[in-house]
Amino acid sequence: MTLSAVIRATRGNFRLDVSFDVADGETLAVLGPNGAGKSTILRCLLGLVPLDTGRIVLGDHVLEDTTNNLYVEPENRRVGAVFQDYLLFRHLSVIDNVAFGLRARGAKKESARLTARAHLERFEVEHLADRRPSQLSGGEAQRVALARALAVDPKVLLLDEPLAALDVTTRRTVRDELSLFLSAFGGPRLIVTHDPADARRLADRVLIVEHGSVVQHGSILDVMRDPATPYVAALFGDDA
Amino acid sequence: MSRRLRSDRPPIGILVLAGLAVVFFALPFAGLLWRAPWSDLVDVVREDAVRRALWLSIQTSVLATLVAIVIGVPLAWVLARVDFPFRNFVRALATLSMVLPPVVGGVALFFSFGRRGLFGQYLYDWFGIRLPFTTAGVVLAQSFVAMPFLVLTVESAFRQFDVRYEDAARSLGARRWYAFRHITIPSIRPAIIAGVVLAWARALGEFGATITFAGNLPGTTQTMPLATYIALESDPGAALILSIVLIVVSFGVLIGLRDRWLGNPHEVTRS
Amino acid sequence: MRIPKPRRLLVVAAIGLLCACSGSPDRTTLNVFAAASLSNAFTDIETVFEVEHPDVDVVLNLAPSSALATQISEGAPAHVFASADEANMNRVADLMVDSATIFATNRLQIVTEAGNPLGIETLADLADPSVLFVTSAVEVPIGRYTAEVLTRAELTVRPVSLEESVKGIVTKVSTGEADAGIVYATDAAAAHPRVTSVNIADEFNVIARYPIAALSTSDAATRFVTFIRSDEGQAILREFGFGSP
Repeated sequence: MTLSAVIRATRGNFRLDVSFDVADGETLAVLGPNGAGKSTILRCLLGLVPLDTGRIVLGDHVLEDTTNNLYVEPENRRVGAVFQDYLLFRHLSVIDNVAFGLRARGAKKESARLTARAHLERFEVEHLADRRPSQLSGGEAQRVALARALAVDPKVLLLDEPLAALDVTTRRTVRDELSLFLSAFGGPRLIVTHDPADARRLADRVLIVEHGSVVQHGSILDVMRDPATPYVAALFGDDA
Repeated sequence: MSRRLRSDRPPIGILVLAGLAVVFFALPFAGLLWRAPWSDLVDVVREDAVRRALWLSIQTSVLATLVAIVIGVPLAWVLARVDFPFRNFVRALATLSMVLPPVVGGVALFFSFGRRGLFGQYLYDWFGIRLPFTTAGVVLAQSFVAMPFLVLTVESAFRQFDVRYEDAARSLGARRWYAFRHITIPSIRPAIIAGVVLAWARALGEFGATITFAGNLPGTTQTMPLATYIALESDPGAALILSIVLIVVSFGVLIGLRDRWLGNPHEVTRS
Repeated sequence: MRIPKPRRLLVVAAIGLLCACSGSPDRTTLNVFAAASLSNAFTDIETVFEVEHPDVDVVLNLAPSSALATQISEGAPAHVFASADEANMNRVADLMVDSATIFATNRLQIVTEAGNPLGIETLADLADPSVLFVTSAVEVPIGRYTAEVLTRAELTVRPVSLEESVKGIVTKVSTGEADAGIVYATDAAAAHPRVTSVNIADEFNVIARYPIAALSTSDAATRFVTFIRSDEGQAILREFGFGSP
């Protein structure tokens, strides 16, 4: 299913005006300076920020359409997310974190835990099942966050600065692992990041956002060859 | 080895001041325990009036706390999350009874919910409901003075709680109420417990508003604080015993307040 | 040594404050503990007495007699105690300089909300369960006297509240919170027209006897007690409705 978004939203005196498509199996990196509106894009896709005007469509499911006054609540959108800081629920164990979404949708405790355990195994962290989030390392927390998001079988996967919480040395290894995990996810993927290395390693295309508008989009090569703004040039410029 | 010890021990100045505070709290109770007629203890405690006062106090304070929870937590949530005009005014209104002398609260209740009161008269004329001189009146008076403690504590907790956890929960498929019940509330549990205990303690000790609004009748409206005050006028020995009973009950509940319920300061929060 | 101007002012102010706080050095303070029902009468008596005895500063402590008796036995500095009944005076017997003397009497009356909407006419009407009746605990004089009256009339009346003092009973009745109460005739008169009085049949009524005693050997205390029992003091009490001893 293709994710197709036309987003016009206001937050305070910040106006966001972007549109993009992401196809199945494709990873789009959203890059931009701080305050450009990248996280707001994710919040709009999740349904946490209502659109002023626009449309968000996933395959043939309309998630939001302002012209027809259509709005699907966040809990029904099947849009999965791994948040900055991971936001694992501190009062729940790792396995209960992963099982949370299933139980919220009505699954019984035991069956939810079984499914959760399977997902933990996929990410090779089932040995951490009974630990608390505060006891995990950055890399472990990211895997658990991924497992939690994927346990409810989302159709789209969003990642908000997935590597920002890690120190430089672990970042490279985790980035490589993330690349593998992402390619195993069949639907469209969207990564918000400020780090061009993430874009190069993980993304097929990039969307550059500055001050709430798209300044450039295309493949990494295209963008590198022909930067539209000084910011883009600086991003990919001094690069071996 | 000794260097490590020195840096771990709290500064001596702080310890001295804290010690002063402990002494400040302990001395009045020491005086009470010293003057109490211990030989009369069993007789006084066995008295019907004492039993009734204690039972009434427990019933009313628990009910008042429940009222405070049921309408206080939603108010705390609204004050923390919803930006509406005159929010500061509403918050001040909700906490006013905490700052006023309880007697003033009692007088206010009297002239609004009394039989001839602004609202009380309709309650009485239309529904035959009378609040003064009833146990319900006691619960009302106690709720009125105790609720602000809960509202303030819980509002603060809601404010400090990172809403993004609720967002995460919703993205996983949880409806708002589910996320609130399973993510928000457990996360602010220490604050809720603290607020509930404070409100309960305040309700248990309520005197001024109760005696002014609800009246004083053994079994119906004479709570432990009232019984103690009345006893003080004629039989100080009994008043001392009643005080001790109230202290033992309150202390018993408070001492059960575990550290871990109030939040562990050594838990390192990882991002 | 020249003290700078602002500091001088401060010193003068401090001395002045001290003088004001401690009262004039030639006035003796006389602490009079008096029953709540004596409030109005004793306030007048205080004024008259201080005019005639300018060297005495009367300080009134007005409260239910039971509370006063407790305060005195716990060491409160009272020089004179005027109680509404003999039982509470006896509680401080060992502190009295001379035996107590009765200086006034009072009768009881039923009071109702202004206008007597329920049409209460006799004691028996109070026994009606729908009537909200307030009194005080028996340790408080008015409570004891009320109980006596009701016993004499062979009536059982359940109160809805035991007020702390006779003033509390008047408040509950005058605001319409309670339907009826029994108070001293003097209080009923003082609260008129906010309350309506109903007489109690003589055969059931009791005479409240008010004793007074000096608790200190000071001259001021003796003079005060003498004043109370003098024609002048008695006249003031009569004005407010108190009976002769």
